[in-house]
Amino acid sequence: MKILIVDDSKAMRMIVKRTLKQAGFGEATMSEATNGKEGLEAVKADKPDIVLCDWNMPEMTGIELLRALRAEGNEVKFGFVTSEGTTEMRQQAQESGALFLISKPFTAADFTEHVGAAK
Amino acid sequence: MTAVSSRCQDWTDGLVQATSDVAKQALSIPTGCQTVGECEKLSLQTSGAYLALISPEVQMQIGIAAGRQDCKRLAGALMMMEPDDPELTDSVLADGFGEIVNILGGALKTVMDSKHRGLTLGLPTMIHGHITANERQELQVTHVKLGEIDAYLIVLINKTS
Repeated sequence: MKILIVDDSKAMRMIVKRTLKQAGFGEATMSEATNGKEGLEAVKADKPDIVLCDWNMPEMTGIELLRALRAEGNEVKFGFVTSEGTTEMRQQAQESGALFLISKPFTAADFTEHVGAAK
Repeated sequence: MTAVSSRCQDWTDGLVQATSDVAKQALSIPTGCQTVGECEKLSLQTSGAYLALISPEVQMQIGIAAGRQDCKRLAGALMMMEPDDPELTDSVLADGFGEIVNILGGALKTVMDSKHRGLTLGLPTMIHGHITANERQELQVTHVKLGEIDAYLIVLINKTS
């Protein structure tokens, strides 16, 4: 399984990777991007099975990345991992084609449930 | 010690609750956040991560501060650092400790959602030393224990907002 992690925080990318390992995805190939724009290029280049993406990022936000992908006809599985999980954000995420929105703080069980279901 | 308004106290109470939730869930501190007491201001020896929260009704900063080694311990707990991991560089420490206040902001937004809708979170910033309120602001600093770690929670809120 190839997982692309898109987050402008190096610390958060590290936390997501370690939590994924705890959740049983230690064998997955994990790649990283630091904003939506880099993420868009990485999706095209690496063809990940799933994208785990922050919401607020410079250059291009997470929701902008998701919309750009869908506008290009790219249906890669996509989930948000973000500090906030308001009803409005969840609605926007779902309407734009995200499978889930995990809000921080998260646990390995959250990843097992959501990323596992997206396999 | 200057008395703070009930409005400022509400935000501090919310921040303590949010910190307790985050400590248990993200920092592996089962006892959560225990309040020790109020402080007049922070020591210059502390470092803190701050985040703006803004809505049409509220303009404020929240923060969490601690001594440098305790900042490293808290960031390390969040990042699930292991004993053989290299020591955090200043930039990764700022990133990790900033992520703590970012998560606190999200948790506080959830805690306060019934009273304050439409809060927008800013970007976390790490600052060494203390912050000072001007005459249009109220500052409340609360000494807390996160397990064995001494930390300080900060609410800086505009009186006129």
